[in-house]
Amino acid sequence: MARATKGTLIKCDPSIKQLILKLNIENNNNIILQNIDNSYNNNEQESVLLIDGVYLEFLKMELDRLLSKNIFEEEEENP
Amino acid sequence: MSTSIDQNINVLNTPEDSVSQEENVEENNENMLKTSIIKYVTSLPSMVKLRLYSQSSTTLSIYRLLPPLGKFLIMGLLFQEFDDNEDILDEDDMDIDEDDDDNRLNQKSNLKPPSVKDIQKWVFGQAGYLEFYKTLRILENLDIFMISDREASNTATTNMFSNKADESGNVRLNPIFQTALRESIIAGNVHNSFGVLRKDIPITDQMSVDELDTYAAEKWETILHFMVGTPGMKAPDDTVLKLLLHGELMMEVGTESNNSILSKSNNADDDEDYNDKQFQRVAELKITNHGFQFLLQEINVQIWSLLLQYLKMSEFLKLDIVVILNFLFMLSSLEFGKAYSTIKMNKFELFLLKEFANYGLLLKNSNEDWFYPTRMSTILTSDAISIRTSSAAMNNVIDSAKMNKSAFHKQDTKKQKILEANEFAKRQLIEKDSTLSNTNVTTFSQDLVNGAVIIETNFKLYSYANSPLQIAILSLFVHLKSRFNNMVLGQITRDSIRRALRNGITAEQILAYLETHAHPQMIKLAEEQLEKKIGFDSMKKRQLDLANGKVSNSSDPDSIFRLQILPPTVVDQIKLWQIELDRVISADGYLYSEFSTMKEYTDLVKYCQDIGVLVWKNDRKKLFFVEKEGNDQVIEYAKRLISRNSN
Repeated sequence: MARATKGTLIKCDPSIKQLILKLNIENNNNIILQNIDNSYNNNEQESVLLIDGVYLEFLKMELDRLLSKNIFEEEEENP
Repeated sequence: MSTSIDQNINVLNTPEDSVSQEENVEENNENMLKTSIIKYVTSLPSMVKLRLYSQSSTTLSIYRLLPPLGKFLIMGLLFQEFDDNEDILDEDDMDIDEDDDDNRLNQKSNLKPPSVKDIQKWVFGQAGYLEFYKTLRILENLDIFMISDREASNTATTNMFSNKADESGNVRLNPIFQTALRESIIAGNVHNSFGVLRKDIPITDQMSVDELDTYAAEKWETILHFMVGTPGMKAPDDTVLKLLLHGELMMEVGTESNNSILSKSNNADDDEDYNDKQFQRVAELKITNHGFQFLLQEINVQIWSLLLQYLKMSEFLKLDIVVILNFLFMLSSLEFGKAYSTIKMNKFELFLLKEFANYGLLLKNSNEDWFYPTRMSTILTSDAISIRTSSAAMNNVIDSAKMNKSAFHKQDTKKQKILEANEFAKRQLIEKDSTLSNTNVTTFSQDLVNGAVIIETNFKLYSYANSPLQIAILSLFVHLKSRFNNMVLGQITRDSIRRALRNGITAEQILAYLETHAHPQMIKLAEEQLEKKIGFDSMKKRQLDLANGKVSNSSDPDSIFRLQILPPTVVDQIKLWQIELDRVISADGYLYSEFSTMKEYTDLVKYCQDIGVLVWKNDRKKLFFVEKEGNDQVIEYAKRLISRNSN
């Protein structure tokens, strides 16, 4: 018999998915409800995850923080 | 949390607040879009419209706002009399007016009102012919046209897209509208609806045209400055602030509830305390997405959208809309530069006078019993510039530079109103620094590039902006580095764009702003590049054609190449920064899994697709995801499927 699971579906790049997996481990596996392997679905490149909706905002903030680490602003020029 | 289908029903029955919130948001968006005054009048109940139309100035203003074909149709019917004994509206009033008008009109002909088909013949074969039914519908919705004797069978099945229903019936002008418009045209008994002119004002108190312009610009710019948060500017009046909040052009950020403007009473007794509070408020308010869009619009679109917000707020406060609208339309039909008496005005009208003075629509000193309308109020109903979009802004900057050379400051008072209005709008666009406009010695070359923006591929931005307002707008999304005598230098950075995006300004809005304010040199460069591209392309094509031995068919080059005024790198990067803010796409709902047969899965998926709640599916894994809102229905359907299968 089919089951219905409440949660928040997330679509993202595979690279972002890896970051989410890392965050999930750091948070005692509370975030991800179901890790869906989407790699053979209609040749789609995006990754799909089912997470607990409570963590959505936290996840977005953390992703933003992690990704910002890799941005390098142009240095101020000296006149 | 994972539950079976049966348990889920209980979960879903819990009340959802988010639904009602979403509805509110949608409504407000719609409100913002309904900026056109005609649409607003149409939305009023017909009793309110009838009261509106009893004022001659109102009918004339509405007439002026209508599309040309609408004007033509009204004019065709305006002085015609029909045998309309079935009319429920007061006949007495009509008769009196006719006595005043003209004796010929008194002789009522026994003509029947023309049918829609007859009127259609007036415009048959003309350029605007196709607009006929659209115009007819606008006029009917405005309750200006009364179409009687419609075939019942047709009206029952009125279809928005078919013209059939409109073809039957007889057309007549709304008698109240007809009377009032006639009066205004033949200058009959207009009951002071066009204001009372004052000619006995002492010369020392008289205002010149220039003074009025400066005053109006100052008032209006105060509002705009406040919206972009220029430091050191004084805040506009409280009622204006309330309006900005009500219209969601600005919002309050992170304050305690007792500091809220809307909840605050007028208990500012001593001046010091009051000033303090004002200062606090400035810090509290922040521009919204709508507010930014508002800044990018033409001035008279801005005025109207603010006034429409004002009307909506008045509706909310249970004030009489008819009086306010009549007052506005009266203002719009006054003559610029003349003084008008306030002696015969009632308390409410005097209150409105004070209110609209806050927006710079008129000038009135508290100890005088007269007022001056400013150019801003007289352009309210001149349709020539109400249709301009922000994309035309660029042309204006160039045009006005040419105009400057001829006679910008020497204003001919006999010039047509439209020309005046145009010039005023242009002046607003150029945003002359107040100090410079006082001295009137601005050089022409400076005006040409005033406010023009140059963006380089390395994200550096140069703007020949003098006015603090323009600089403040730029600072919303540009990291400004240094300011010179006639220009500012800045850099578009990831942080500056992200700050703007977080404030609700979209990448598209930023790009639209930059594009409309691009320096003429940037446009020239872009045009040259486009020409080169097209030239190269056609050359290649000709070579190809020659090789293939074909005759070249001229294809439209514009479809392939678009004029790129902004450097593509900058455009793409700004858009990427916006996408970057949303690295994940999320949706709340339910994941369906563990289907035992493919048929079970496909049946349910098909149903979800049909009712439009399917977010994602994976056929191979027999998984699919349903929106939260549609889950109830899906479960109901699943139950029915199960019971059908078990039978």
